Amino acid sequence: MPPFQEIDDVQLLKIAQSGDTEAFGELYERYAPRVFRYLYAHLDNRLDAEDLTEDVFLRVWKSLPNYQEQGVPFLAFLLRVARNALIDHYRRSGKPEEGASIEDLPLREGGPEPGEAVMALLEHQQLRLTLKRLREDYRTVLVLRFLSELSPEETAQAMGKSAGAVRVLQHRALAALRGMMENR
Amino acid sequence: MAEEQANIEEILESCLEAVLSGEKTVEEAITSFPEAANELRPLVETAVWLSSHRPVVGPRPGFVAASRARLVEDIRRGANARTKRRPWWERLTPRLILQFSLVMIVLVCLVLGSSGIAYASQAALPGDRLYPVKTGLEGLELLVNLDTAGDIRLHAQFSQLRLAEIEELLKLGRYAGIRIASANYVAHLNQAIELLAQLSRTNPAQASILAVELKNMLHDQITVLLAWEAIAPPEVQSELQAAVIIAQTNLKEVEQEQKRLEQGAQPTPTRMGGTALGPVPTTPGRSPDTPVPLDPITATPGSPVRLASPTPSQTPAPPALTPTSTPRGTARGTPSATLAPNISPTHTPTPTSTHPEVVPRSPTPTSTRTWTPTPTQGKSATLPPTTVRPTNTPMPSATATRQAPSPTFTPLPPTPTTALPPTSPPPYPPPPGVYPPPNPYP
Repeated sequence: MPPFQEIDDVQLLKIAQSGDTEAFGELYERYAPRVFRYLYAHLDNRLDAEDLTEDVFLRVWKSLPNYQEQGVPFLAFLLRVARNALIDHYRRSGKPEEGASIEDLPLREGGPEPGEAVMALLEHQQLRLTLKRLREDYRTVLVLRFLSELSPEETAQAMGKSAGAVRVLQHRALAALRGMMENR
Repeated sequence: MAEEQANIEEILESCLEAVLSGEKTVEEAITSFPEAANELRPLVETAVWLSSHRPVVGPRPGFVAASRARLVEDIRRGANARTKRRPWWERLTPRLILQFSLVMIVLVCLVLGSSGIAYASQAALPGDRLYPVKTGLEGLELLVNLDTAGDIRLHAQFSQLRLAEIEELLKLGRYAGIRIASANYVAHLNQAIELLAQLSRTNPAQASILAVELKNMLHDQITVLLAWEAIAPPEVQSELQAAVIIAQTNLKEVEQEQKRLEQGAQPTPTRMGGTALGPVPTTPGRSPDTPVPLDPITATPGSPVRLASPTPSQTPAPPALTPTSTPRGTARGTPSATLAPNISPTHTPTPTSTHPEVVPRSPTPTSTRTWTPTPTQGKSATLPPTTVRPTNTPMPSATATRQAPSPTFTPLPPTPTTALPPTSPPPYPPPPGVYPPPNPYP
């Protein structure tokens, strides 16, 4: 059998469904960044996003034997699970999202480029706050399309909409975001 | 009409595909559709801007590989997803450790009657041993305060204190500490503005009053920061610039909030659809906010990687140098104006930080950041005293309007101490089973 890196996703999924944890690990490596970006765009805390990413894949593993590709591609399935994990996370934490604190960043006096870590956190905060001001469905389509790099078809499947509806939503969401930025 | 609308959406999609794949630039993509160019250009630019933020929300280097091993291990152990959390020692962020330590220190001080330590800590600066005690006491103040308005005022006051620390650090040439004080200043500002937005929904009258206070305070703070930026050494320019930008952004937020309160605007409920990946409720039991304009932060000039706004930004005019309160003394904890340059009504310092003309990033953005703050040289450069005299650029005091604490809780994130973990996001810890349990937060 060729190494897992050379096997396509569909085949890999089948192997993982038969119980091969390494195959599932390879799937994880391929999809985790997109799931992470989706989660972190909604969360203020990077650690929570990391934990939730692993949580999502653990849940997916448990339901993998019952998963069938028809209708809902694997990535769309992953993101639906991610959305549920996000809701559970809010419910468990039971409090409004708090702004990430600068102090959560590891800072070291005299260390290399400490300002970069600060700027990264500030940028994330600003991005998250900007997106938070949008309608929920606008935010979802923008996060999926432009941060998680889903195609329009994948986005449609993840959101349970038609491709045409996603195109309309995308148009309106971009216009809304643009309008927000222009009306300062 | 419907057909035209459908066409524009397909055209938009084809432009996005071409631009985001790197095949074409924005202009090249929309040139093919001249009749729709004016409509397409801002939308495509916005998409490019948003795509350029992928690194901001991306995982840390090494996270995926390391967590893969942990995931596989968990699966083999039959771990339950619901209970899957990192071991408690890995979830102890520096903040939590520091909070606990500070609470213990303060409790011990109280029990042993060592109020002198608490008193002495008021003069501490970032890098001093007693600085965590100082910020810990501030945290306790927030802890015992139980109402949002009080928290806002406390955060405003603490932001003032951070500026006082920056002033002192500039005088002493302790530039490394300025990073910490500046970061904490920004954190307090952000907290105050967030809380103001919350208060607007529950108590608009009080929020109106606080919006005015915050606005005045921010005006003065920006003035002082710009003045410091103009005379500060290169090692700390970037920190001060970032602080200015954040303060200006927050000022706009406050002004918009004030406008909304004056107009009596009600938050528009957002649609909560039932799609498979539909809206995610961000707060249990609470409707999301009215969409409010919020311009994203612009990175400091000179940085090749910018959070470029799709619209050309304007260079902000220098803030009006109108004193808003009488000069205060040089009591510790209150920023004196001794460091401010001679700002008379006829002299307007030119702000060095501007919102640069923005060009949308290329369709294939990379996360190359070459902005490198110069490490501190440890010099104790002194600012020329002859050029700085206190004039009417005082810091307004938030204490004058501070309310008595009432019992709500918003814990203050503690500030880092001298012994701090690495600056960049630490490489993700190695997989379990290979090394001893890693501590990503040394």
